[in-house]
Amino acid sequence: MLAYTPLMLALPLAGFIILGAGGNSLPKWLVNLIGCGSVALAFILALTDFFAYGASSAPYDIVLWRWVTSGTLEIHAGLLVDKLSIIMTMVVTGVGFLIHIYSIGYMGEDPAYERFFAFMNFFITAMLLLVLADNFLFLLIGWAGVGLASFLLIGFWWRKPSAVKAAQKAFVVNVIGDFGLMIAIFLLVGKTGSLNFTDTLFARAGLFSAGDQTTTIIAFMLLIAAAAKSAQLPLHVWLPDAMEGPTPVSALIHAATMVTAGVYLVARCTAIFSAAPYALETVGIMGGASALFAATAALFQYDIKRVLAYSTMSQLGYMFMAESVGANSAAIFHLTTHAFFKALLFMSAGAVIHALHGEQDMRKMGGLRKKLPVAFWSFLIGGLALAGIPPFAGFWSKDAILGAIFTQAGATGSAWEYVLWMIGVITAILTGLYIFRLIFVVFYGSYRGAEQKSSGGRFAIHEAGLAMTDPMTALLALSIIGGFDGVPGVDTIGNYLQSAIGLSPAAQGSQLVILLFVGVLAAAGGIFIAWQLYLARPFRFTPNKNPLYQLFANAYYIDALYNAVIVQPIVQLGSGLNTLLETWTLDGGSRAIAGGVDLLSRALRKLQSGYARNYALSIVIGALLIVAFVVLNH
Amino acid sequence: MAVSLNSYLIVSAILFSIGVIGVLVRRNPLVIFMSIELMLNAVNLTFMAFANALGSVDGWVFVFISLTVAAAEVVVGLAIIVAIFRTRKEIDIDEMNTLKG
Repeated sequence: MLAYTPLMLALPLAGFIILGAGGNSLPKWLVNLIGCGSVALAFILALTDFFAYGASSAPYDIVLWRWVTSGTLEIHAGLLVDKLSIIMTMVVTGVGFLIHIYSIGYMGEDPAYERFFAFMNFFITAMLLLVLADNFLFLLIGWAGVGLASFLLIGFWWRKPSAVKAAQKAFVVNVIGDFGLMIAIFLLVGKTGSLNFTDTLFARAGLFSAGDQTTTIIAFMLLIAAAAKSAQLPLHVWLPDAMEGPTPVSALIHAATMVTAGVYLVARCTAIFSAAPYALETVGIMGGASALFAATAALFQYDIKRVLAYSTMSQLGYMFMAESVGANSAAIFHLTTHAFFKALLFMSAGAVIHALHGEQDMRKMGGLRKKLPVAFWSFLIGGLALAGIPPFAGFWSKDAILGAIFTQAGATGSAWEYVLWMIGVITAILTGLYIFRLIFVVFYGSYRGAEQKSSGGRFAIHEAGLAMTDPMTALLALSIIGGFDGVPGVDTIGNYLQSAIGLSPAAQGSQLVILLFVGVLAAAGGIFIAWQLYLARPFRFTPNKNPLYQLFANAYYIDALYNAVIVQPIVQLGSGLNTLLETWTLDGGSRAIAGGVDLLSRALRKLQSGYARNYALSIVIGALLIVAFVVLNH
Repeated sequence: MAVSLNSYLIVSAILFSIGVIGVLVRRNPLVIFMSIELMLNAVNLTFMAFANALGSVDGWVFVFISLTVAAAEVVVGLAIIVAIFRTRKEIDIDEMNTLKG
C-alpha cells in the first residue's frame, strides 16, 4: 500500500491543474467535488499509509525517477515514508480537508471561487511534497512551493492594497529562509556528497560530529530557514500581516500546516542539530524569545485574527523550545494538537467575521454568545485547549513540552534550561490571559458594532451554514480528544515517533504531578486575570497611553524598526541610484552622445550643397591628393 | 615604328584631363556623360598600353569588364536623365540641388 503514496501528491496536483485551467467553466458542485475530494482521497491515502507502515521502523523510500546526475552526485525525485512524515501527512490532509469543506461556506460568494480552491489544492500538493521528500533538493521545492501558495493566498483579494503588501512581505521574508535552506544544501553537498536523507540524516553515526564547523554552519542555515517559515524572531514580521488573506487560508497555512514546516525541518534534521550544540541552543533562545514576545504582543491587539496570529507564533515558539532540549516528539505532538485547536479557533473567528460581514475589530463586537452559539462553543473549547486546561488537547502537549524542558534541565543542570522552563510557564499564563480576553470581549458584554439590520428590520447576525459549522464540530471533537494520544506515562505518539526522531525526555512520578499542577495553575491563573479584567467589571475599550501597553500593542515596534533600519535605507539607496545611475549616468550619457552627434552632423551637412559639380570637384581633389601622397611617399 | 608606352600614357592623361574638366564645367548632363565616357576610355587606353608593354592579358580583361559596365551605366544614366526631363521640363544640372543638407 505504501507504493501508492505518490498518488497522495498527484491527486491535489490534478485538482490544482483542472481547477486552475478550466475551473471557471465548471459548475460549482463540481469545483467543490474536485477541490475537496482530491484532499479527502489524499487523507485516505495518508491513513492507509499509517496502517500499512504499522510498527515498522525502516524508512520506506520510493524513487520516482532519477532527477539530477552530476559526477558522483545523484538526486532522485523520491518520496520517503516514515513515522514522522506519516504524522505530518495525516495532519496536513486531515485538517486540510476540513478547512476545504469550511471554505465552501466561507468563500461561497466570492467571484473567484474556483481560483481559491485551485490555490488551496496547490498548497496541499506543495506541503505534502515538503513533508514527503526523500532528499533536501526535493524538500526545497516543496518549501518554496508552500511559500508561493502562501503568497498567492494572502494576496487572494488582490484589489486590497494592504493584502498585496502583506503578500509581498510574506514572500520576501520567506525567501530569506529559502536562501538559508539553499546555503545549507550547498554545504551538505560539499560535506557529504549527497542530498538523500538516507545518505545524510540516517547515515552512519559520526557523519556529523560535534565541533565540526561545517555542521554548525549547516545547522544555523537550516535554523534561518525554519525561523522564516515558522515566523520566529527575528523573521516573524510577515505572519501578523498575513492575516489579510481569507480566514480559511489563515487557518490552513498560517496556523495548522505551513508555519509548522520549520518545526518539521528541525525534527527531520535531528542528526545535524544534535551535532551542533550552539545551533540547538539558539533554537531554544529563538523559541523562548518568540513565545514570550508573541504572547505579550497578543495581549492588546484589536484585530481578532492578529491575536490568533501572535498566538500561533507563540505556540510555535513552544515547539522550538521543545526541540532545543531534544524533545522532538513532544514538539510534533504539540504540532498536531495545535493544528486542531488553532484551526478551530481560526474557523470560529472566521464564523464571527462572516456573521459580521467582514468586521475583524474586536472593539465593534461583543455579546455574540447567544447569536453565534457554535462559534462561541468552538472558541471556548479551542481557547481552553490553547490555554492548557485539562483534559483538552493543548494541555497534554504543552505539559509534555514543559515537562521535557524541566526534566532535561534537571539532567544537565543547565541554568538556561530552567530559564526556558520559566519562560514556558509565564507564556502559559499570558496565553490564558490573551485568549480569554478575546473570548470575553467578543462573546460577552453587549454588542458594540453598528446595527446590522436585514430588510425585515431584524437583527441580522446569524450563524454560518452547515459547510462551516460541520468542520468546526469535527475539529472541536479533535481539540477535546486529540491530546489523549500523548498522556504522560502512556505517550502513544511519543513511542510511535521514537524510531523516527527519538524519544523525548519526560517527567516521572511526583515531579510529573507537580509539573502538571503548575501547568494547570498557570493556565487557570491567566484565565482568572482575564476574567478579573474583562468580565468581572464592565469593560470598555479606551485609549491607553501606558508605554508598556503601547510597546506590547505595537509588537515592540519591530516593524517600525525594520522599516527604519532596513526598508527605508534600501528605498533611499534605490531612489539615490535612480537619480545617479539612471537619470544622470545612463540617460544623461546617452543624451550627451546624441547631442554630440547632432552638433557634428549640423556642421557636416554644410558640405552637402546639392550641386553635383561640387561633389565631382571634391572627388577630383581627393584623387589628386591620393596621387600626390603616393608620389611623394615613393 | 613602335609607339612608346609613354606616348600612350600622355595621350591617356590628356584625354582624362579633358574629361575631368568637361564634368566640372559643363551644365548639360548629356555632355557630362560624354566627358565621363572620355575619362573611362582614357583609363581603358592606359590598361591596354600597359598590357601591351608587359605582354600580359590582364589589362584586356579589365577593359572588357569596364566596357560592359560602362554600357550598362550609360543605359541607367540616360534613363535617369530622361525621367528628370519628363518631370522637370529642363535639364540644367545646377538646378538639381534638392538633395542638399
